[in-house]
Amino acid sequence: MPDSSLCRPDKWSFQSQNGHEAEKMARTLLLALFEPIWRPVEAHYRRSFLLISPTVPASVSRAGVNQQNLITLLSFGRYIQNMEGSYMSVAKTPHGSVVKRRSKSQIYQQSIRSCFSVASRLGLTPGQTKMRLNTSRKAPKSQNITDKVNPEHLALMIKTEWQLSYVTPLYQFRHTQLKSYGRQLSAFIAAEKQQGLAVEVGGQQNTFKVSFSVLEGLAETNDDPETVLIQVQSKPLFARQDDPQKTVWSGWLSCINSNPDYLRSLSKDFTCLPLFGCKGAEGFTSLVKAWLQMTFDCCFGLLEISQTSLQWLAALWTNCHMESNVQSLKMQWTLPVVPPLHVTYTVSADDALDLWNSVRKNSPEKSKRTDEEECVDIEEVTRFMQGLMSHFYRHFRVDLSAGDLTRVSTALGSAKRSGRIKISNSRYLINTLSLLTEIAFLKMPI
Amino acid sequence: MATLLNLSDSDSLVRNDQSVSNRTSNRSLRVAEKERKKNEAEDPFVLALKYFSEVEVGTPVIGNDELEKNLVQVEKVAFNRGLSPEALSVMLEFSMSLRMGSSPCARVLKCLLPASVVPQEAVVRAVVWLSVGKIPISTQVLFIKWVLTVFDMIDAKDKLRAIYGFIFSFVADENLCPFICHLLYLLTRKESVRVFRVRKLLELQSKLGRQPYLLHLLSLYKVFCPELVTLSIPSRMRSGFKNHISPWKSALMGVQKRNNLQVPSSISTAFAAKDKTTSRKRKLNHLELPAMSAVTNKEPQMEQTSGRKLVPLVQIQSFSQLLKNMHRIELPSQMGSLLGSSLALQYLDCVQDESALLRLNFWLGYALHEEFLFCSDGGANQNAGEALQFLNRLLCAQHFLQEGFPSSDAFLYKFLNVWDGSLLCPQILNLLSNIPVIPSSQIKTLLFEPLMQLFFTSSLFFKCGLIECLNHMLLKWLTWHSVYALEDDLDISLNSHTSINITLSGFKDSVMDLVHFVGRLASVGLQLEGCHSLLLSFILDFYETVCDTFLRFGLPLMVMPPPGVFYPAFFATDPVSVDRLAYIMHRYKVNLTSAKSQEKVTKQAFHINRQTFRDFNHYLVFMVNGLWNSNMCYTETNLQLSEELLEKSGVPQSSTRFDLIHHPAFMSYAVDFHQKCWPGRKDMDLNSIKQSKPWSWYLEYLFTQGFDGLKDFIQHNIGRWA
Repeated sequence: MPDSSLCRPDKWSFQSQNGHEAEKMARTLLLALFEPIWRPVEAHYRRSFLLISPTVPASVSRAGVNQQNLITLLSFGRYIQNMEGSYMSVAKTPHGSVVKRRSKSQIYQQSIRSCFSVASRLGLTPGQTKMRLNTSRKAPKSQNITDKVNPEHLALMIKTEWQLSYVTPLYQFRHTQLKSYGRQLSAFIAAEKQQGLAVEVGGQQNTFKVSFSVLEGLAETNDDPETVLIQVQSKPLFARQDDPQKTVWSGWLSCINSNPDYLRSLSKDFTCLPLFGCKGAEGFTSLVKAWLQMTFDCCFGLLEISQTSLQWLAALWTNCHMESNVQSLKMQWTLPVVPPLHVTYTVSADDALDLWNSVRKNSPEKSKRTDEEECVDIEEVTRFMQGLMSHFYRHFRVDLSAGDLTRVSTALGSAKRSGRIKISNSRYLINTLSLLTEIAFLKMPI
Repeated sequence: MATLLNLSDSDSLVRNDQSVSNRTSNRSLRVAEKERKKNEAEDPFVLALKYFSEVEVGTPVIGNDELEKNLVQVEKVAFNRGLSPEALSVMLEFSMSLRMGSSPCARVLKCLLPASVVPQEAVVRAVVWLSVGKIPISTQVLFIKWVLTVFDMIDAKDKLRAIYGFIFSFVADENLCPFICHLLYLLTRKESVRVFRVRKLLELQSKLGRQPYLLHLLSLYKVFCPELVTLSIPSRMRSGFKNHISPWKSALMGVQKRNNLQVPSSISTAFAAKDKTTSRKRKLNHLELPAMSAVTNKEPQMEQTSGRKLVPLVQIQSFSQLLKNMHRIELPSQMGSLLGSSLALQYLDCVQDESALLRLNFWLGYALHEEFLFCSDGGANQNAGEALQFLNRLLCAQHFLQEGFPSSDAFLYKFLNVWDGSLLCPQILNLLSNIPVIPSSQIKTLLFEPLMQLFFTSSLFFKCGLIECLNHMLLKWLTWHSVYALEDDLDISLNSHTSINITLSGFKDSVMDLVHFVGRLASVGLQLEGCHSLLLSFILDFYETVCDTFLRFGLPLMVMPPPGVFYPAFFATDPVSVDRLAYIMHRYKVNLTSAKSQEKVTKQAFHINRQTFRDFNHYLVFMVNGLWNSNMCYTETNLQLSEELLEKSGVPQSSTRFDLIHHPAFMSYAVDFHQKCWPGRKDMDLNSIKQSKPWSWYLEYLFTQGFDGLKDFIQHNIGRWA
């Protein structure tokens, strides 16, 4: 027998009716109330959508959100970077660190580890690196650096393909201690190669010999720390006594035309050599990296040469054709079709230079800057690339802008997206390295 | 002779202690003393010890009944209760000096079970005998094994360390070497690691091959002096020294049990080399914490000038050790390793060295950037577990330090722009809530713009999560303020490391920006989600923090919720939201009144915007009118609502529809109350509750239902109650 009071229909109808009324009322009220507030915010909301929709690739918005799309988005960030020639353009603020307003009210300080201490030491506003890829740079001038740098050293640097990495600042690195580093590293390599065998540091190593040396003169500004060359030498297993040791691995740490503000903001304990190139067996690379990481508390990351940087290289190398023969400009694109389409596009250097000059002539700055030092702008580079691509489209009906530029090479050198670079002419070494240093600085975590 | 007397004294004291409990006779102490002395003279054990300490060199062993008798006596005591330190000294001396030849030597050694501690002097003397006498090699090994077994029971180790070089010389002996290495391992300090010792060990290594005992000793040398020796131990050798099967172990445990002694495990096989978990090989292992290791790359002059001896952090095993060595700890070569151990985190809290913190931040920023921003390998999905683990560890460290790391903040500002709002969402939001106060000039670009996009394009649950995260952020900022403002009042100046000052007004600006931002998010979020009560609940959480900023955190700042939050909360159909709104309004009132009274007392110019008061009054009047007076009035509020529109809704008596009886949130309570109040009535007339008596009963009824916020609100705002 159900509770009689619950069964009374009059009660229920009353209640439900009343409830409906109130709810309806509330809804009307809310709608009315929201009207004035909603408008401006909604407008903003729409705007933000507008902001998103053209920039996010369609696949992202369709497929929802996951890790894969994040990558797409990220690569898209690179796309934005290309278009605007600047990275992180979303968050640009003047570099005035933090407003230091003083008022009569209390002033308090943030605790030591908090946000600003490190960042402001580095002269950066929190959360954003001030550094961006330059939108304008000097056209490379052929430099005869043989009088500055030992030709033997130069010969080591050029004509080999280097795998690039970026390195965070080295802690307690001293250019005066290179000998001792060599001893330690050779002992380390020996110990790692023979697991379970202790090795005396500085003892007689007949298997591996590591030498650290300074490539004197391979620096541009006074702030740049000198470039350091690391070589691992070894004797072949069945070599005769008097056989010379063979270099099995070599690498260098360099910093050319660095950001002086960044360098000065680091304390004296740190040495900033952000660009690391190496050549040789993978095993040695990881051993040397591991030792450097352990000894100087630094980190290594792969340095990819972004599309923009490759375009820069293509344009700058073409520009060099005025002084020395670059033979031909060779580019490789990968188009995102299934299976991926690789396009190799070779232009004779004269034609490329013609195009480049035409693009340059169109630039209004040209006339102004004739007497000043010659500068190249990102707009010119972009126009140059667009010219090349539209030429290709006219002939093959393939739009290269849909793909990725993966490789650029001329007689002066070659660069691959995966971070491999080869410089064939010492006269443009400094220019190329300073561009690469710039890319490496962009990767710094702080 | 004196030693012997001492010895017997203390020995019998032990016995006395034991018998004291069951001695029931109440004879005077002096009588007891006499008795004891008499017993002592006859105690065969004391006599036996006396025999061993006085026995002449060259006394024959074979056929010596006296020796046999005394030895049995000692063994009996030893295996039963263990030997006192003095007895140990006597027996060790007897055995190692070979006074009666080498034959009883091993037998004596086997019964050397300490009752409490082992005197260091005895061990040192025995070690000296080791090189003097012609002890058979097996006995020598037995002796070293004995030392290893009782190592933790040796009362002090300073003199043993003083003869480190002497002990080291036994390494050359092939048979002794494994055991000597272990002993040296236990004794090694930084100052005992020398080049010539390293060379000697390496020479042995080339002679004996890769022996684990040599490697372990060398690896300890590497910890102390990585500039002298280096090695990498293959994983199969990482097990430490073999726990040598010792003949004393079980007997010793028995003795300790009987004596109720809490002695740490007899043989310490502590081994410094961390056994790495065999993680599967990854091409990019940037998420792996570096192993902690001592610094190789030292400034040579620093070592000399700073006279104090540094202790590598790797060597610190316990918190007490950490406290003892706090002033002379040497940071590891890779600062990232500090995040791996809780002990190191304790130390990190005290690290003042800015370079060290910068190193940590470089590493952390690198790892985060590589994993989440550069992710060049593309296989990011594969290591989601590792990323999760890494972030959890980072969060754990941040919670411990109650502070974020600048590099993780910097990373977040970038990451928010590309984040999809679902990847590792709880962790990222958690990290986000740790970011410190951002100056008002940058808060918009760094935080608000990316968050706004995320908020409007994601699910309800993300919205709730974000509001909660911002609430935590606000709480942390306010807590930070209350701590530092307090210190400022007490005139405690912080150390000079800080490079940034933020003024009170700057701080207030930032907080205000944050509160306004959440207000906007909340208004639109509620509209988008149809005033979802879950979202509303998180928003009200936020305003519970906001309404109390003055009294709880001492920040003279009052921000009212926007209409887009207030009205949905008021019109909510669930009573909890209305109750919480009432509580929030009540707290606003308390805060505002106390702010106002303080303003009068101190005459301090902290000015609360008049608009704030006006808004508050509007809300208050609206609420009281609606809930209490049954007279909703929209003219005074900031809402433009025409009468025609209200009429269009077709609701009769629209102004009374939101009193405590008819409000949709409370109607069920009103019906329930009506039933309870007039159980016999057939037709329900809720308006009858409005009569004064039933009304106050009804309120009482509501208050008993747990609507404390409502209770506070009504009691403080309605004239009759206030």
